[in-house]
Amino acid sequence: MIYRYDGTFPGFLCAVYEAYHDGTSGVEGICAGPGPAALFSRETAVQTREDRAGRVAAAFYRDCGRAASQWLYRAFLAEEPDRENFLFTYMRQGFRLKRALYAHRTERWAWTVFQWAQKTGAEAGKLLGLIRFSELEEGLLYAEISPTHDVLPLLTSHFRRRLAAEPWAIHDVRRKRAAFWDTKTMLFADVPEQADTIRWSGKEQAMRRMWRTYYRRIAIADRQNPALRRSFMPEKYWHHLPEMDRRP
Amino acid sequence: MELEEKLAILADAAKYDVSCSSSGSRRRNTPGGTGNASWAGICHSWAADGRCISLLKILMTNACIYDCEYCVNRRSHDTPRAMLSVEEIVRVTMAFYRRNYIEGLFLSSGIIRSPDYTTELFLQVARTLRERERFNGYIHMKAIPGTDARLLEQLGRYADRMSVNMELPSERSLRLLAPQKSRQAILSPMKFIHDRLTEAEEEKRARRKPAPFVPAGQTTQLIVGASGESDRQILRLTEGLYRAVGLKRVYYSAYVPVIRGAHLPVIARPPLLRENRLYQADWLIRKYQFTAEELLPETAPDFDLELDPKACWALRHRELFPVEVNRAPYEMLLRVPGIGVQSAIRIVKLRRYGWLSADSLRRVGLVWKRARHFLTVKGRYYGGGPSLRNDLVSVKTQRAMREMSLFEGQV
Ligand code: SF4
Repeated sequence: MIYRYDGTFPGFLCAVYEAYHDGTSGVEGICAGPGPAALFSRETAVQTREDRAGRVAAAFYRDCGRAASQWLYRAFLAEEPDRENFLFTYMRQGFRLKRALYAHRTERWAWTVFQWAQKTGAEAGKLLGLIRFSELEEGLLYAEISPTHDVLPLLTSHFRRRLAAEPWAIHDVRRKRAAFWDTKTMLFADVPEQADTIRWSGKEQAMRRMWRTYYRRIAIADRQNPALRRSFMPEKYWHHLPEMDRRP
Repeated sequence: MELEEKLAILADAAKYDVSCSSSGSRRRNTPGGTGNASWAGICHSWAADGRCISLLKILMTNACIYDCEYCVNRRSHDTPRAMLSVEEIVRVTMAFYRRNYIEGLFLSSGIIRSPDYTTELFLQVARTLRERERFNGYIHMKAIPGTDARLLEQLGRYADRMSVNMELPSERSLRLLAPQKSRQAILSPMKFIHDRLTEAEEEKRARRKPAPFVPAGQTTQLIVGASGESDRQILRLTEGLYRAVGLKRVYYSAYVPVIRGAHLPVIARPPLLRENRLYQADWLIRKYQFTAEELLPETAPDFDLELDPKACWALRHRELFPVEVNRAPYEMLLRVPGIGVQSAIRIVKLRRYGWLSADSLRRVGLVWKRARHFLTVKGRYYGGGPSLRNDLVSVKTQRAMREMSLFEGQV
């Protein structure tokens, strides 16, 4: 049986739920979204139901603990090819081994999951610093990101605490999703179209220039080290950084 | 003068202070306020020299009444001067912070009129940020030698961190290069901050809530290569400072020859590799329970620029190795080149489930190429051979050595 789910994390957990319900020996694969019709396998479209996803997540957490659950979620967000089958193996082993899962972390199936989780975690950590908000006309702080891994869900709690008293939005332009904070609730939404109505506030341009000036002057010329800079701040992030704008 | 131009001059003048960390404080956001402090600190950008930018590091003014010979802001140096008002500093800090450019403010200054007068202006900045703007981000304030303890006490209520820069590692070079500052004037604010922090600790232990005072502690900075001290002298001073006044960090700043002075050495390039070795040794003292004496004994008072301090130590103590990775105590694993704190913890955790093989060992995150010379795995030794020294010199160092030997006059 091939399980087709909607590509979300809860959807994936529901696929796992159904697989356990049907008996895991019959699982041939878990795949996101529609695919080419399978010739020799049966397919089922997984329904995403929050209650089921919640039960699977809670069971895994109870059996394998916090760290192992965090790896699972972060590894999923890494969006690596064939993630479903690795993660399914990982969860099956987890339900079998329970807390002893840790002892197997140097084996390939666990190691891969761990590596993916680390990549996602590292990118999220980096972006906490590299996100740049711009002040819009209506006062909203707005940031665009285009991360390699799907880190948006990992970023919001930090900024909720930090900028609690004002509205802000973080827009993943690559996945066309945005998180929006209105000072009371956190909202996630699909943003299919790039908004071309975005207008900066009157102060924005001057502040960016000020930051750029500061950025250039704080470097010690005798210690120029472009390779070191690139290793900390890879070029793929420069596009969204006002300080890397080449204008004078 | 335009604000942007002032910012340019004063960032330029502040760049030689290397400390930029925003760690060590858990200040929470207050209702209606802006910001909080992250315990681990956050880097927001990296400058063209590869250094992290975490705080808005700026001088209030670069016009100083003192004349320290090594300093670009000294009175006798011919350079454009600027001064930021309290309001300007507050405005830029808030604007940068909201846009997530920075974690907070690191304010320092040339001395205006007197140390007390300058500190009073710092106090106004800190108070305005905390009380009027309800800013809960990070604030690092310089404690200027010679400031009245009462003012430091007040400043410490608003700041997350304070630092007094020692700059010169010995009394002798201080007299020579910074005649207006005495060792005593530098040590006494350090001592004061330390005493206040100790009091606060005791209050906490007695389950009283102490008045807030620099929760992220204090740090200092030493200039490397502007005066003649050996690495051993510097490292022993560092160790002493950690012990005596409980510093959180000592920063090292390779002397950059930007200005001339009768007592300053003539060098072509800053001694970066030496600075790097000091950071490594400092790290070993703070996190790996090494002592300065072990790392730099009297017989070897300066670092080997080719090998890192831990590898050097291990090579001097071949009689202690190899150790069996499945049995060696944690403290000993930490001393193996190629094993860090993280990998040592993982090894100890994993071997509870059974003996580790060489293959699984490679996946705990150690540097096998280095570590194998100092370990046995299930009794088998994988090291030795003529590549030993070569394996211990990191590729990065090899490259850096090649580059630097072309330029460096004195290291
Ligand atoms: S007191 Fe500070 S700013 Fe003034 S000259 Fe000395 S080192 Fe420079």
